Amino acid sequence: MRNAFVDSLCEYVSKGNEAWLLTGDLGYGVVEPFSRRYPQYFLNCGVNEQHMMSMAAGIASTGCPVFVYSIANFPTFRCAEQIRNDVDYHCLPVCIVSVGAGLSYGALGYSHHAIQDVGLMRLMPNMNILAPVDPIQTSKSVNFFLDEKRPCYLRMGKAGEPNISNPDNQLQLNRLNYLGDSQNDGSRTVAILGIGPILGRLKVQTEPYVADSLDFFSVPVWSTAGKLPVEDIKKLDRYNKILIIEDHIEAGGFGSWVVETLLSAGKFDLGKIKRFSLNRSVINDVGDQRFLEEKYGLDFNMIIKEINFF
Amino acid sequence: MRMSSTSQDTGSKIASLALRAVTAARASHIASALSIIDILVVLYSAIMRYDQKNPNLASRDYFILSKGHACVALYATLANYGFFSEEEFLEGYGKPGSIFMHHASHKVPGVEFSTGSLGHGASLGAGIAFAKKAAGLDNKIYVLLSEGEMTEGSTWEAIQSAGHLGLANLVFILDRNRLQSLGDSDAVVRLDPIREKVESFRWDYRQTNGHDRDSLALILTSASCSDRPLFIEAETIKGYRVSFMENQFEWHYKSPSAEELQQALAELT
Repeated sequence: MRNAFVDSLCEYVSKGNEAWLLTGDLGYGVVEPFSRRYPQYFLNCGVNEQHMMSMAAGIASTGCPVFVYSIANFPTFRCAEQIRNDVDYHCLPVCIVSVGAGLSYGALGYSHHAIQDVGLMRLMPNMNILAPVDPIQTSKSVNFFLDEKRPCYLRMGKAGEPNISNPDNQLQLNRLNYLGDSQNDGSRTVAILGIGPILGRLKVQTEPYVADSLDFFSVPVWSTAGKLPVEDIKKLDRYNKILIIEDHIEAGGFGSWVVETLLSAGKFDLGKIKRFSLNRSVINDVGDQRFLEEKYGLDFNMIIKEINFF
Repeated sequence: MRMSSTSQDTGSKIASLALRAVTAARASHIASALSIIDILVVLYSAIMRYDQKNPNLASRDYFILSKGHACVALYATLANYGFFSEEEFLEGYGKPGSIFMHHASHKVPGVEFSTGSLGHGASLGAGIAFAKKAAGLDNKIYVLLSEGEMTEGSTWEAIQSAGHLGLANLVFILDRNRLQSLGDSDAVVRLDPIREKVESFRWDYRQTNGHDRDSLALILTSASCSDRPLFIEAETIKGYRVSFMENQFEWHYKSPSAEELQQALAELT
């Protein structure tokens, strides 16, 4: 995903467009294709996320889109007020890029676990959340921001994410994005909704066992103020069971957004929704990503059990 | 440079506007506003490039009021220089539905950024300065800071970064009125030696009386040959021009009564 991000940015600038990439002294092995090719649009700000975010707002106010690259919670919680007051309030073209969604950084510990970031960014009134499942959606997310030129939060995995999304499916704000062959859309009994690379991993892992029962949907771009449209809510209503999966604390995340959306629609049977997310005990555990996700039920065994139970 | 008598009168006129607005709105921070008016007059009368009829003019110089709580001084200044009418400002300040909230708002013509939480303006200014420098443009960026926000880490992040980047198109002006929210600034957190601090971060440094408009204008017009950003420590008096407000930190909070307003206005004529 990281490479898809940088490649997309390079492609944009190669066409004669302007875009800045700021980094908080992170991105070794990732940012170089851009920084070497376009040093005139690259700045390593050093480790000063508050300053970097306001500086990004200042640059963006002159009309040029800015990407702010860092990892985990550094470009979000560390500079939350700079995002709130400077970037979001002024609705400036700044894309906050965080690598290491969820528990990607595993044994590096709680400081590096981005498990509340969506909740924080959802509170920003002008923010779009870009949560691609794979490199294909990552490239589209970059282009979505560059087309929209308004505040965005791009939540990416660390590395090695397989491509699972349909290259022909366009990203549409607050819309379900079906991960599979469109002929099967809606014909199965269980829908799995999620964001980010964890959804891709689960899809790859579970398909050999329960492929006939499941449809996977992501919502790769969504906004604080936005809701799923009636068309998508009707689509979900056709399923007997809806599982919402996210590598995030339950409160305030993607699942909360979906439930709030469905509540506002009225007459939706929320009883058929089951959420799989992280509980607060995860902050006390040490382990790699796989260990932690398995311990907290975010692995394919959970899905298999749930489907069989159902 | 000698400022004209008309310009000297401008400071009192802007102070009167600010006092009337604050009194009508029963708002705070009048003393913080009075201490920066001469700085604003110098910038808007003799230094900055702008078009009040086209506030987004690409070639404009930028002013960021990082101490956003003193916005009434900025609004009054912008009204005086024609960005909007004095009546619009006086009738709107703090009123429901108005654009003139009690901290600097970018909804107001001529205000680049909304501020109010301290420690943001320095980095915003550095960002604009960096972008303009990178684009080979000659816009200048002026940021007015309070003493209180000199203890924000983000302010020092900006100072370190702007010095490193050699942003010679960036000027910080510190409103050194020696009083902050709960008392003497240097008693809260000692700021001195400011000169040694900023020079060690590769900034040029000047100190002046922030109410001596000739001196301030001379500094601002003579510093353009340096390759470093400029930090001006402007010694000011909180509540300047109103005798019973000067150096009285309770006027950080209080709003003048009708009688106090009349007394203040009488001192300004």
